Amino acid sequence: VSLAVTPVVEAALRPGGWGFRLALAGSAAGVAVLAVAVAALLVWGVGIWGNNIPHVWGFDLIAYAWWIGIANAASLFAAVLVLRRHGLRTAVNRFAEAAALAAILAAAFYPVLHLGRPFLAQWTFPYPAYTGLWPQFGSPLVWDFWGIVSHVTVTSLFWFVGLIPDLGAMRDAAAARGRVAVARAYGLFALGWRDSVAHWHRHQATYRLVAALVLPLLLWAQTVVALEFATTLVPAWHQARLPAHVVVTGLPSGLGVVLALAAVLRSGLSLEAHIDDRDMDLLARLLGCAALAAGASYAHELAVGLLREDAATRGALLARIAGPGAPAFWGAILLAVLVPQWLWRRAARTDPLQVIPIGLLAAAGVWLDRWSLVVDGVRSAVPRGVAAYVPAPAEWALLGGTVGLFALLLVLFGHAIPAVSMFETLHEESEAEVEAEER
Amino acid sequence: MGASLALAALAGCDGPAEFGHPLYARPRSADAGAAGVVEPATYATVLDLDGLGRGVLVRTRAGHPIRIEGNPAHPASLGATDIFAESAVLSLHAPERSRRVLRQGRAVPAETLDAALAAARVELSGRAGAGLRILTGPVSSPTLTRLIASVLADFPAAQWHQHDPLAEDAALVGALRAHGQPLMAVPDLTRARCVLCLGADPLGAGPAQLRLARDWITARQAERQAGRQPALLVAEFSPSLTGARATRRLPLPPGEMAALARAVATALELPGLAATARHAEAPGIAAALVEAGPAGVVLAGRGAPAGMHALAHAINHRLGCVGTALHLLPHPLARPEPMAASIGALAAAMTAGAVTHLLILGANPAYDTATALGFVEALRRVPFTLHGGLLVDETAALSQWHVPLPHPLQAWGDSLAFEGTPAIRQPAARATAVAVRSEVELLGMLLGRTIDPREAVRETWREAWGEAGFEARWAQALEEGVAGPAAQPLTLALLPGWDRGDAPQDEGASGPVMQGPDLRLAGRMRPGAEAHGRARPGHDGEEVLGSERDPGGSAGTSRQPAEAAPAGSNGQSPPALTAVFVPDPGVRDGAWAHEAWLQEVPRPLTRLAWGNAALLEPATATRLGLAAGDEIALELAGQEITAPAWPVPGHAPDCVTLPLGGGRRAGGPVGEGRGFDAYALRPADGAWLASGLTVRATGRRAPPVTTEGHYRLEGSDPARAVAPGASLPDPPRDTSLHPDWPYPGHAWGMVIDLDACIGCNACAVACQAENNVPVVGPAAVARGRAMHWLRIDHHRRGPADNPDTVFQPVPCMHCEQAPCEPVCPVNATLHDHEGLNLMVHARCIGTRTCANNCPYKVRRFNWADHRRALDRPARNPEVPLRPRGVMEKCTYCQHRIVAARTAASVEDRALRDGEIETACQRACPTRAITFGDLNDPASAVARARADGRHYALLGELGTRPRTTYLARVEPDAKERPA
Repeated sequence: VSLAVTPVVEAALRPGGWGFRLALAGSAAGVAVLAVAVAALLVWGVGIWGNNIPHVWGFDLIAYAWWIGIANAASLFAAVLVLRRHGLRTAVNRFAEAAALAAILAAAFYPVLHLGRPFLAQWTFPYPAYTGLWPQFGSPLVWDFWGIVSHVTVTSLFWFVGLIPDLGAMRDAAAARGRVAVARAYGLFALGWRDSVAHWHRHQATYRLVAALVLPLLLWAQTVVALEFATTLVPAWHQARLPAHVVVTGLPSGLGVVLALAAVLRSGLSLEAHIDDRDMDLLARLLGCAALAAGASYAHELAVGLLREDAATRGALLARIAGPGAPAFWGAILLAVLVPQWLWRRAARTDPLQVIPIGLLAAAGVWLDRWSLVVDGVRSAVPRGVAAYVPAPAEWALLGGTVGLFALLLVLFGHAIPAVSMFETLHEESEAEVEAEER
Repeated sequence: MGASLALAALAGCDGPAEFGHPLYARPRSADAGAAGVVEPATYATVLDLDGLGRGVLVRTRAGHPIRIEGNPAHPASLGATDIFAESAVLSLHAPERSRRVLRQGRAVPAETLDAALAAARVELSGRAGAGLRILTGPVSSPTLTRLIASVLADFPAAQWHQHDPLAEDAALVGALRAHGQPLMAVPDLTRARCVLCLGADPLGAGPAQLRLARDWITARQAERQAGRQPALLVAEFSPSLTGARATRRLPLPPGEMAALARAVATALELPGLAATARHAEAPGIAAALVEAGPAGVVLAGRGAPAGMHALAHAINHRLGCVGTALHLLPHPLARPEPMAASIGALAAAMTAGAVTHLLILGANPAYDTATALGFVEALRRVPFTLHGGLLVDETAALSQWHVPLPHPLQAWGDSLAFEGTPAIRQPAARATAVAVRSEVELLGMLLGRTIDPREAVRETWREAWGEAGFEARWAQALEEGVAGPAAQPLTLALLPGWDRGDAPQDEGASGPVMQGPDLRLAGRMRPGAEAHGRARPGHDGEEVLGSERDPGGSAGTSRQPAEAAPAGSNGQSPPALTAVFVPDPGVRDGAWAHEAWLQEVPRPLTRLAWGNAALLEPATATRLGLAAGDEIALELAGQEITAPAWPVPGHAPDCVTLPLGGGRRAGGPVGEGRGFDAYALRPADGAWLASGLTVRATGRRAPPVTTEGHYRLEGSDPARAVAPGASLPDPPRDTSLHPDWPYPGHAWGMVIDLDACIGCNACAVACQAENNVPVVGPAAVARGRAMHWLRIDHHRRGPADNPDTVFQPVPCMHCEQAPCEPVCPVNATLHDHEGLNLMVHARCIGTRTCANNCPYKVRRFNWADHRRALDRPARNPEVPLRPRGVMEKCTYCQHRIVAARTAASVEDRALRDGEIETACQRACPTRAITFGDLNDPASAVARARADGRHYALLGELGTRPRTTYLARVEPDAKERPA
C-alpha cells in the first residue's frame, strides 16, 4: 500500500468522529421512521395514504421514478467513466456506484409496498405456481418487475466487481495490523484476490463488460418506469416521448446527488487530494450539461404539446402548466434546469457551499417533475371540490425513511469500505511515475 | 343455565303467529330463479313514504330480507323502486335499531310497559280520556285508522294529531278553496302534453315519483316517435329533478313565482280572478297551455301558497284537463288535514298543561318540528309520554317511555298508494327483539285488549270485503301485493270565490281563517271509515294555516328581494333573503338519516353526500362574497344557525335553499351531526318559505362532502343530445391491432337512455344493495374513495345562470378492447366468452394500474377492509365480499346472468330476452337501462343499439364499450316557451 492511498484506507477504517456519529444517528433515525412507515402500511394497508380514484398513484410512483432516476444517473455516470477510462473515474466512481446501489434499494421498496396486497408481490414473478397462470407479459408492470430486478443485479455487480481489488487491499491492510477478524471479513468478499497480473487482466475485462451491460440497462429501467405511464390512456401520460423525457430529466437528480455527495465526502473524509478541484469541476460541468439537456426536453414537451398534439393532450399539458399544479411544473424547470446553470461560473463549481445546495435542488426539481407528471397529469382542470391527492403523513414518512436508508447505506459504506477506488488511484500514480521516467 | 333459558325463550317464539312465508304467502313464481339456483322466497308487501305506500317485492335468503325490488303489479311502483324503499333492508338490520323498552332512558322489561299502559287506561277511563293525545305521522292505513277510531270511541275526550314536516298543507287548503274537498290532484303524465310546474316536482322524490316518472317517459317516448316532445315548463326556486328535465326552466324568486302564476291566469282570462298581474314569460306559457288544451296541466308544489294551488286548480278547469290529463282523487290519507295546524294545536295544548298522556307513534317531533314551535319544552310538561319508533331518536330521549316498533319489513299492516290503491303489508322477516310492540299492539293495550296485528289487518279487510270469499281474496292480496283498485277520480266543479287574490290579509303573516267545509266530514268511505267521523282533529275550525306565507307575494314582475332586513351586528345591514325549505333528496325530513346508503349517495344536482348545505345562486353568492364551502351564519326571526354555503347553478336569485333533515342529534352514529338542522330556522307554522333571512360569512370554512368533479372524463362530449326525431352522425370506423373476440353464444350489452334518466339515484343505491358495495363514510367520500359501482355524472350545459343538467349513469363499460385488461400484471381482470370484463378479486394484488387506465373511472379500490361491516344479514350472499387491497367494479350483475342461465338449463330452454335484469335496470323508474344479448338482433338491447341516438361514451378512444348510451332529446324549441 503506497503512501498515497493511506488516507483512504485510514478513512475507511477509522472509528469515526462526531460528524460521522451524527450522520449515523440521523440516518438511523430515518431508517427507524422507515420501519414504522412500512409496518403501518402492512398493518393498515395503502388506505393510510392519500390516494384515491383517480389518483391511484402518488408518492409511491413519484418516489420510485425519482430514486430510479438518481440511481440511473449515478450508474450511468460511473459506467461511462469506466468505459472511457476517464481520469475523473478514479475519484468519484466508487461512491457514484454506491449511491446508485443505495438509491436502487430505496426505489425497490415502492413497487412492492404500493400494492394493495404487497404480500402477493411475488405473483408478478414468472412462476405460475400460485394462480396457475403466467404473468401477463404485455403489462408494463411485469416489464417493471424485470426492470428493477435486472437493475439491482447489474448495479450491485458493477459496484462489487469494481470493489474486489480494494477489498483485497483492505484485507491486507487489516491483516498487517493484526485485526484478523476484519481481515477475514474483507477476505471473504475479496474472492481470493492476489494482485496477480492474470487477476488484473480478468478483472479489467469483467469490469468493462459489466459496465457495458449497465448502459442499456439504465436506459431500459428508466424507460420501463416511463412506459408504465405512457401505455395508459391518461392524456398527459400517453406520449411516445415520455421515456426519453424521463431518462433525460432524471440525469440532473442523479448527478446532483453525486455532486453533493462528492463535496460532502471530500471534506467529511479529508479526501481533498483524491477528489480534487478538477474532479469537482468536471462533475459540476456535467450537471450543468444534464440540466441543459433536461431543459431541451422541457422545451420539446412544451413546443410539441402546445403546437402539435391533439386537444386532449394539449388540454392535459395546459392543466399541468397553468392549473393548480403549475408550481410543480415550473418549479421543476427552475430547480432542475435553471438553477444548475449557475455552475457555469468557475468559482461556483469548486465551492462546496454552492455545489451542495445546487445539487440537492436539482434532485428536488426532478422530484417536482415526477409530481407534476404523476399527480397533476391526472388532475384535470379544476372543478370545485375535486378530490385532490394530498399526501398523507405515512407517505411523507416513507419518503423520509427511504432518504434515511439511502443516507445510512452511504454512511456505512464510507465507514467500512474505500470510498475512492484505491487501485485506480495506485494505477494513476504508477502511470504518472512511468510518464515522469519517460521524460 | 341462563343461556339455556334464553335459548328456550327464543325457541318459544318460533310459533307461526308472526311469520310471513311460507304460512301466509306463496312464492312468487315470476321471480323464481331470479337470484340463484336455490329459490329465494319473495314477498309482495308495501313500504310507506310520507304515509303513502309503494308496492315492493322483498327477496329473502335464509329468512333475511336482502333486496327490495318494485312490485310490477302495484300502480305506485310498476316494478321500480326509489332509494328509500331500497334502503329498507339496511335499516332492518341496522345495529342501532332500538330493541329494548326504555323508561327514562333505562332498559326495562316490556311487561313493565304493558302494566304502565294498563294503569294509564284505568286512569284515563275515569275522565273519558281527557288529556290523552295520540300523535302519529301521516296515516293512510285503514287498520291503524280503525284502531285509532276505536281508541277515540273509548276515550271521547281524547284527540288524534298527525305530524308530517313534509306535508303540503297549502295544497290541501288550495284544494278546499277550489273544490271544497281535500283531494289530491294527480296528473296523468301519459296524457299531458304541456305541464307547467309552479314549484311542483313530480319527478322528484315522493310517494308518487315512480309512477309519475314512468308516465312522463311513456309520453315522451310516444311523442318522440312523432318527432315531438311534451312540454314540461318548470318555474322553481331551487333546482329540482323535474327542473332538470324541463323543456323550459325558469328559476324564479318566490315573489316572482306568485306573479307568474297570476299572470298566466290573467293571460288565460280566467273567470273569477280577483287580481291580475303581468309577467314577461306568462303569454308564451299561456299560449302553450292553450295549445295543449285538455292535455295542458298546471301543478303547484311545495312553497306555493294555498292561493297558488287554488289558482292552479282553476287554470286546470279552464284548460279542461280535469278528468283527462289531471285526476282529482280523494285524498289517500285517512284524515287529510293541515299537519302544521295539527301539531301546533297539540303543542299549544301541551304547553297549556291540557295533555297528561301523549302517545307518539312513528313520529319524531322533538327533531322535525320547527324549533320555534317549542315542542321540546312542551313535551317536558307532559307527565306520561310514550314514544314508539325504530330508533332511540330525539323524541325517544325526551319521552318517559320508549318502545321499539317493528320494522316495516317485520310488521303486519296496510296502506294506500298516492292514488288510493290499497295494499297489505306482510312481514318478510321475524321481529328480532322480543320487546318490539307494533302500533296496533300499543293501541290495543290502550283499549285493554290484546290485539294480534295480523288479525287486526284481516279484521279491517274482512269488514271491507265481506266474509264471502274473504280467505281467497286475502291470499290473493298477499301474493299480488295489491288489495284493491285505485280510487275513482272525483268529478267536481270549481267553487266560486276560489280566488282571494294575493292581498296581504289573506296571504300575510296573520294567516287566514279556514272557511272551507269541516275537514272532519271529508274522509271518504273506506274500510274503517264508519268510525272516521269520530277521529276528529284536535282543533275546531281555527287552523292557522301554515305554508300560507308568501314573502314578497305582491303581484308584479319585480325581482326585488324582500324588504328591510334587521340590521346586522356589524352595523351594515346584510341583504335580506328568502329561506326556502325543501326536503333533502337523500334523507327527506331527516327520518332517513340513519340509512348509510342514502347518506353516502351523492344528492342529485348538488353532489353533496353525508350532509346538507345552504344552496344559493352563484351570482347571489358572489354578491355576498361567498365561495363554495364558506361557513355562513343564517339568521331568521332571532334564530341563528351556521351552514356551509353551496352555490348551485340554476338556483333562483335572492333566496337560499335550506334542505331539511340534517343535524340529527340522536338516532345513531350514521345520521347524527350530518349537516345542519334547518328546522331551527323554520317558522312555527311549518311554512316552506320564510322571508327576512340574513346571511353573513363567519370567515370560517366548512366545506361539505361532495363528489362534484371527482370523476371527470377526458375526451369528447360525454352526454350528447339530438333534436327530436334526429340522429347522431355515425362514428368513424375504428380499427384495432387486436383481433376481435369471437362470441358464439351470448354477447351481453347494456344501453342507457339519457333521455329517460331523471337522476333519481335509484340505480346507484340498487347496485349498492345488490352487490354488497361498502359504505365508506364522509371522510373517505371527500377524499374520492366512494365505492359506488354505478355513479351518476352530471353535465351542465348552456347559460351559467340557468344551465341544462344532464344526468348520466356510468357503470362499467365492459369494453370490447378494454384498456384495463392488458395492463394488469397478474391477469386479475380479463374478458370472458360472453363479452364481460371480469374482475377476479382473488387474483388481484392491487397495483391499481387498471384504474389508471380506465378512461371512464369506474373501477373502485378497496382502500380499507369493509368485509366486517358488510358481513351482516343484509348482504347479498350471491356476491362475494372483497378484501382490502383489491379492485372491484360493476359486473353486469353477473350472478343474475348465471342464475338465469342455470334456470334456463334446468328447464332445457334458451335464455329469453329480458329474463336477465340487472339490479340498476330493475330499479329504474323510467326504464332507462336496457340489458340483453347483442347477438340476438331481436333483443331489446340490440334494437336500442340500432337507434339513431345511439353512441358510445368516449368512443373515439377505440375501447368499443358494451355499455352505450342513447342521446338525450333536446327540443330545438328550447328557446321558446313551449
